[in-house]
Amino acid sequence: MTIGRNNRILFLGLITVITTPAFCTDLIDVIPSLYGGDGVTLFRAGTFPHDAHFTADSLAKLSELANATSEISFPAPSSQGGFTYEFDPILNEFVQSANSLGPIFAERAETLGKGKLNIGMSYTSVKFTEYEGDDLGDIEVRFSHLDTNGDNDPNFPCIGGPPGDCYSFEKDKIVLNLDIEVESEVVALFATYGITNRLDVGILVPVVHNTLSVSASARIENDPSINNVPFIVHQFDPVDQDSPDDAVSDSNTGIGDILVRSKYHMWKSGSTQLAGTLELRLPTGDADNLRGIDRLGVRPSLVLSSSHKKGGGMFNPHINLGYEFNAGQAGQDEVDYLIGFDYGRKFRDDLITAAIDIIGSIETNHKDNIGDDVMDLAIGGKWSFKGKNLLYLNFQFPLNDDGLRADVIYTAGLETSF
Amino acid sequence: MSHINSRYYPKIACIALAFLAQNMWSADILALSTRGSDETREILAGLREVCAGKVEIAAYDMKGDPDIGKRILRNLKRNHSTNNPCFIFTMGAPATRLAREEVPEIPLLYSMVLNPDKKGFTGANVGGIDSEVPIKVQLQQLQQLVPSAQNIGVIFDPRNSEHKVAEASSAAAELGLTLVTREVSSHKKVPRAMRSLVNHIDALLLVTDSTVINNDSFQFVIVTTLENRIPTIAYTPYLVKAGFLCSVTPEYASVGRQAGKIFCNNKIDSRPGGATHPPAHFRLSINLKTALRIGVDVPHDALAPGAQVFN
Repeated sequence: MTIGRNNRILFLGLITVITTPAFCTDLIDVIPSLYGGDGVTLFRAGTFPHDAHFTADSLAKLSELANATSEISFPAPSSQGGFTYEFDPILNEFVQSANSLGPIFAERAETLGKGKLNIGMSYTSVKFTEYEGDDLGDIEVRFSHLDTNGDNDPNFPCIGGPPGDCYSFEKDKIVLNLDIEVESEVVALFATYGITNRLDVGILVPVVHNTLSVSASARIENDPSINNVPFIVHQFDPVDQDSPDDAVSDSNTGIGDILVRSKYHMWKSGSTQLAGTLELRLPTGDADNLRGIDRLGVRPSLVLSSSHKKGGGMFNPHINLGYEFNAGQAGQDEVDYLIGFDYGRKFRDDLITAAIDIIGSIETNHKDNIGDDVMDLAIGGKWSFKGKNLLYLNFQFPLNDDGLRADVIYTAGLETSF
Repeated sequence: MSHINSRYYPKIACIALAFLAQNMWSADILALSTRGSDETREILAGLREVCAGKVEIAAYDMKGDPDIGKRILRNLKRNHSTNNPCFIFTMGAPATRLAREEVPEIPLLYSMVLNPDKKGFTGANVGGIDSEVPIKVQLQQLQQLVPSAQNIGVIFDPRNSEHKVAEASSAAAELGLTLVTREVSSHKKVPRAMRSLVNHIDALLLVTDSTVINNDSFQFVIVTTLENRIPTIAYTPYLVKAGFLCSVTPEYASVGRQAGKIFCNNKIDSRPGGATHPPAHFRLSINLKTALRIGVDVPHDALAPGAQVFN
């Protein structure tokens, strides 16, 4: 179901924004490279020469955001066979089964059949816009001053005057406003082969192109006690140090985490069928460039589906329920589910199918409290032409705010069978 | 002529066998069913009964999957040679269509196909066994069960079954019956057509017409005929089991025997070509519960041996 998850470490690098020089080579280094890679450096001369020591103790939000990128999952297209013929006893002849072309991302219990090969390609485009309900275009981070005297009290030292009439410079803050753009495009190549009439195996290879752009605007928020003194301690020095504004951008393309899938048809009773699937997510993607997770993921699942003739077509409800081990970079596990239906109908010589699914995941061990409960709505359609060729288009919308989300995820694909 | 040295005999035998193996399709008849069923098994049994010991039959089931059918036929094409003629016997329109597309040069005999002309199954080396019983035979059966029936109703979509209604009209005239027809253009118009017929007919004839009888409409038609006590002759035992009075259909084993006679009692290189043969034997299916309900007294001798009875 999932192609892979992007690197959670993306924004962990922000922890080192202020303190660690970084040379940008991977996407993980993009944000640390802001402001020259050595953090926001203020004016070093002046009335009170002072190296600003703003720590990233308020980077929790950014590190959470970094972790959230590992929660991103792109839908992986399911593989379905084409049409077959069945004898219709009412019409007294063989007719092309009004079977739907199947759902786009959910699995149905049917297998391809022995010796059948299904190959395809899909394109997915996503631009993330929100994190935990907040607009990615307007992320605010506040940096506190280093505790220069180790007293754990920002009121001291208090300089420039007697107590009550002095300046508690440690209470100054740097406020960073970030506009973050994260975009991903995935071209997935996939194939499924029917080893027996009950067993399918398949592989999906994603080629991922990620773009990360960050614009930052910093401002100094002075403590009101600055009014007690005639000098300024913290100020920007655009000539010799950092300007308050900065922007960085980078992109990367490469193979993501490869999926190896299998499906076994277990049981059929009337129009209801049950299958079991096993999916391995191989750590073949580059985690530093948001193209994978450095862990082997394993996801067994059950697929229950049925078919019902309705209004000249076929109505096929389905449920997929799985448990994924190592679903994210932190090694968190999750329950994955898809619930929905597809409806297929023949129009002249073509088959057209509409599919609607609720796609969701629930983390079971809450290792990072990010994206613990993600739920999307997928609406799409498939069209078969010239017998065995399929085109499909899908739109996926968020139904809640957990984790890193896009307003819509677009997927288009093409499949054919042999 | 000089003798061939005997030490060369094994080599010559091997070469000959290799030549024959390369050029010989191992069976004389390839029987391809669209999807295995009781009907196709009966047909094959009849075919084998007649052809046993005369020709070799290779039977395949494409399981409703066109890809499987293509693989079977392409394998035939690779191994077939004009020196080793064979025939294809198909069951169902999809298998027949594939055979015409993949191996049009091999003579073909089809069965279990409705409206073969409309489907384009014609040609010099194409023949078939009709899957529908002549309407005259059906009306004769109806007369036997319901001797008082004079006005026979039929609902049809001209786009699908105008030719059948023409056949029915001609048959009815021969038998001294009156055909009362209603045209429909969609299944939504069937209820009105039925209601306009019920008071004007003594019996109803169903023709294979997907506009009139389909998954959406057949239950309504059954209920209407039962409520109005209208004896109905259908075209498949499935509809009789569902509630219509009776049907007359080809006896499938005899379809196989008929095919066997065409293939196996003629010279191997004679073509099936060009003709659609009517089925030789028929089977009556009758629903006695329906008969009781609508007041039809089924004569005992109407239940010929082999009749299928639903209670």
